[in-house]
Amino acid sequence: MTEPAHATLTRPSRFAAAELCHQAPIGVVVLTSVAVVDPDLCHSFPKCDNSAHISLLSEHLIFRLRGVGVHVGSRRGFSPAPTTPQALRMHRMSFIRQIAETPENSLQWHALTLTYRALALVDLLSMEAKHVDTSSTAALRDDARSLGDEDAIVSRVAIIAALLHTRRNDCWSEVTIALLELGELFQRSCLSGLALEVSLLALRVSAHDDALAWRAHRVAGWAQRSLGQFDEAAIHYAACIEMGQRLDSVESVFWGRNGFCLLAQDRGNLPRSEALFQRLITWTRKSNRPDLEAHARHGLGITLGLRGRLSDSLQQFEAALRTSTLSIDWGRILGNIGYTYAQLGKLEWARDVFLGLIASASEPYETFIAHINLIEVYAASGQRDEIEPIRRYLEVQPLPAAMSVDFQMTLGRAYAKLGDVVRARRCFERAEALAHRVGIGRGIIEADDALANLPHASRAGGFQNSEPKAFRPLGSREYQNTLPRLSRREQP
Amino acid sequence: MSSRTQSLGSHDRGAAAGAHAGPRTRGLDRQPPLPRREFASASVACCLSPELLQRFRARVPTAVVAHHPDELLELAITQGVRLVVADPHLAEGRCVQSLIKLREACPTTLIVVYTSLRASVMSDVVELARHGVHDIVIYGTDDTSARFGELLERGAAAPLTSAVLRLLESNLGQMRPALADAIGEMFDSPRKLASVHQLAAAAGTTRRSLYRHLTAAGIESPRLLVVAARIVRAAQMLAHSRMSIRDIARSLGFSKPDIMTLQFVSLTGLRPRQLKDPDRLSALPHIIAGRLISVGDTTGSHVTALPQGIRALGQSRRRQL
Repeated sequence: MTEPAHATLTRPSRFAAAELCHQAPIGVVVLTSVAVVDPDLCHSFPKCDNSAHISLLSEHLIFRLRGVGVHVGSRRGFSPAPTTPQALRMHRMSFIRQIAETPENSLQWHALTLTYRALALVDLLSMEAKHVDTSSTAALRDDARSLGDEDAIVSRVAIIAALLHTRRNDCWSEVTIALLELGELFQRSCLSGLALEVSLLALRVSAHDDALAWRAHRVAGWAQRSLGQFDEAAIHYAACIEMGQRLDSVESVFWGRNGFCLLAQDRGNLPRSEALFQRLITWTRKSNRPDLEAHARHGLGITLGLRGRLSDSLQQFEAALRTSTLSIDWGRILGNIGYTYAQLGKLEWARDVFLGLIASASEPYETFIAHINLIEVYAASGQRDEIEPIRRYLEVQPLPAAMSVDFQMTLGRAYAKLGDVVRARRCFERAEALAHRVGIGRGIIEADDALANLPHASRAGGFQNSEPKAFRPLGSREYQNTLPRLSRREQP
Repeated sequence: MSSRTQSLGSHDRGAAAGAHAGPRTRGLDRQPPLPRREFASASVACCLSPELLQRFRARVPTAVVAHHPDELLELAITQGVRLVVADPHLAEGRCVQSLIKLREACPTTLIVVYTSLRASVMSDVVELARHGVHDIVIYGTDDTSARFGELLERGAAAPLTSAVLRLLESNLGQMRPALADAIGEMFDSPRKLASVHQLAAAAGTTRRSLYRHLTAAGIESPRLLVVAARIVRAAQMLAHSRMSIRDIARSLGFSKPDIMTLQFVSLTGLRPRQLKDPDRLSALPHIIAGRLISVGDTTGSHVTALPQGIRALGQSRRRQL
């Protein structure tokens, strides 16, 4: 081949390719440019313009990716699987990487190293408590205390250290609860790898106690879904349902079922996701749990938004807002209402919602997404001066990789819309480099596409001209739902 | 061995630091007290920076010290070292290449990265992880005697463990990777995953699903699988250490030595003391794999290469159960 294979692909094929790459299990050497996987596919992809072909090829490609010995030699595209922390079997690899990437002696660095030490000690003590001297646990406890209790992670580590230091045989359920809280803290910071490591350890420690284990399964399911490990996530969600039925726990069953709805959404099967959410809402109403119903309605709203049914989506969000009881949920629902307003062209309403959200949001995740959405709102209304402070703010924030790619893409589109092609190009190149470095297939293809069409970029993207499916949901899986998805069942 | 290589231990290189078990008889009183986990065939070699070495020496006083990665490689290959502890940052990254070569030359040698958390070390660590190095000990964090003792024990048991896992390879290949990894981890650290519940949790599933997955892959029983992991470790300790059956049973979490003996007999058809015989020990992986794989399973056909007499013993025990 004389040119990158994906350059010859039609636009729908590229998105199908992105979808496939996204679905490919981590651990397999994933294709670098779509057609290189197989000489047959190389010829087939450029020809397939209709969705039935794409769907057929999707199955074919996934099948091949899961087979043995798939190897791709192209330079561009996706990182080889072993560079992902989860694919490398070294213990606590995610933590090691995160610690190494964090400025030494910062509070975050201390929090991470203390957590690492706590996990190592839990691991050792759960195995053979009597052979670990008390000085290790005492040192951890003292180090955590010396940092004060301002940082939520450090304070949880201090609790774990104090519990371990007591060497009580009955301390493990309390240790598990503290570990789960740690996992949820990492989850809120979008640190999926760390959340997964913590939740799996909590799961092992509380293996005999279903009442705690289902919570660990829930966090682990979220983390693996975030990392694109859908099959593993499904097993965790199935465990939540099984344990919930055993315990007669509505919450456990709900989070398991909710996980399956989100998995269908992440896989791009939106009709199935919608049907599953509808069933879940009916079930929560029967169970008389309005808080859970609000959560399910929020999920349904996102699915409907992804399908382009914005008015229906807005109705679901508003219904969810009325019944929701948690402030975290309010923030997420409001963010999605703002985005739907923007999609519907009500830019001022959208701006007000996002600004309100930034002022009141309780999670950094919501704040970051609201800022990125504001960039699009200001670009659509031609307010370049308003974009610069947001850019400066976001550039110094610890955004997750996928969100950083999306930030650069959004910024690039905004500059392109405002006629600054040079800056737009720089943003797209940064997005592509970052996506390439961390292995975000969608980001690479989207950035490539944007760079190829840059002279015409001012005519595409953004809220005013956006396609209805270009919906960025808040509160769904980290940022990979932002691109249009091809749903096989939607195709004729 | 290179002239710069020095032995830190006075009596046995293979001994690890840990709690001391007293001499078993009065006749042995003249011998120096032995560490609790001592394996005649196991030995430890290290190549560390002075700071790490000082700490490591305090925990594993009998380790053989190599001052250069090339020496470490030579030592590990020629002396049959079971556990290698090294800082990949040494010698401007040449240590990484030596460890990769060692990994290829001696796949059963357990390689442990012992380092401090610095950004500059990370690329080396990732490179080693790509080549199948799974264990890392962080300076000042989990570099305890218990951790090194556990690693040493695992290094000593690696040939036996990997023989069992090789025989189960076709069955493990039918499982989802997380479950196969959990089983591998259980054989590596039987104390860590000491029950079916814990094995299920490590595989990210429930106990009921675990039974279903294992049956589908031709493994007869998760309970037997858990027992097998502990029995393999016990067999290794019985054959190569001076520990008593009582101490081994206690160390592996059996409530009584009799229970360990009973499980030995029911799983392998052998009594613990019979494992002192090297022939019987070498046949143990076949016996255990044959016991674990379902009767109707065709994937474990390679297990039939077992010596006739020992196979018959294993089968007769199975019928009794």
